[in-house]
Amino acid sequence: MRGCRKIRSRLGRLLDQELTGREAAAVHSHVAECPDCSNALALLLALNERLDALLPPPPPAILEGVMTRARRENSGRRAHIGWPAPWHSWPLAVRFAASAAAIAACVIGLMAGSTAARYTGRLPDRDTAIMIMDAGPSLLAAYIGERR
Amino acid sequence: MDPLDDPDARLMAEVAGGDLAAFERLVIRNQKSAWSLAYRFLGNAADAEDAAQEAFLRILRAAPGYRPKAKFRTFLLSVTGNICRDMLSKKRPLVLEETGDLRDLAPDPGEVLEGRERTGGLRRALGALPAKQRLALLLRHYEELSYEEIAGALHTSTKAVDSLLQRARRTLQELLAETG
Repeated sequence: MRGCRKIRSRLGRLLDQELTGREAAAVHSHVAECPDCSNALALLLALNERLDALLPPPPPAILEGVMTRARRENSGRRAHIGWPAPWHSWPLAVRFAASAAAIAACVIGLMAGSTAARYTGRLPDRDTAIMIMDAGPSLLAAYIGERR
Repeated sequence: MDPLDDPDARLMAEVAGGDLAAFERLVIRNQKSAWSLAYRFLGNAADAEDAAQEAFLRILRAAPGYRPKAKFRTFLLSVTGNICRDMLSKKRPLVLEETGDLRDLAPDPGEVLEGRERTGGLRRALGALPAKQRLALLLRHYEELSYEEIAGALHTSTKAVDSLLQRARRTLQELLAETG
């Protein structure tokens, strides 16, 4: 019969209800008169029935596994957000205070270094300077006393 | 479709706000779909469980940027399908379980054997299909997605979906005719 190729290409869409009413009617009227296309449609229906029989087993404990992993990821994210928080999220006053404290620490460190140099006649070596800056004024006083 | 008509899309909005209880409800409502697709695609329970879990976790991570354009279920099946295809490309050959079919619980041993052979043959034939054809067929036949929804899930056109389905069905018929 004429037009079999076109009709065959539409059989799947007919079963999937993806044809317009007019297209479906044209396929039906062709199939009613064409044994080959009728057979092709019967084979597709048989395939669908066979596919219907393929049932999956009941789902396993997907929920438990997902929620355990989700809670772990969530707590990790919260811990990351908790500390250290991003600089831009700090309040303005806190950012100002932190900046001022950092500048003051640098100035004190420089003053301590220059004082030590004045009293000892030479600059302290690198490790000593770091120790002075870390330990603060009490260690500085002890250091000066020892050098004298 | 109005996204607000989809209860799962509303749950996703809550998940985006960090609500894990909403996420739990979302998993409960949709776990069967993700599991069924993954099991039928991958052919074994352990891999299917991994794929379904991974799909939900990816959805949890993607929740803040989620903008519903289609049904949530279509989005979930798309994510699950992508994970399955990735798993398949990294893991060959495909291992097909012969024990999972509920029809295997039939009491008559003769029927059980015949049923197992039939479903085993069908599983092997499905496993032999190219991944994209197999996914299109599973989304159409079992999940009853329209061609347009399948096209959205596979990032292709409805014409391409039609072609994928035609080739999948033709190949399945040929393989089953050979093996019975």
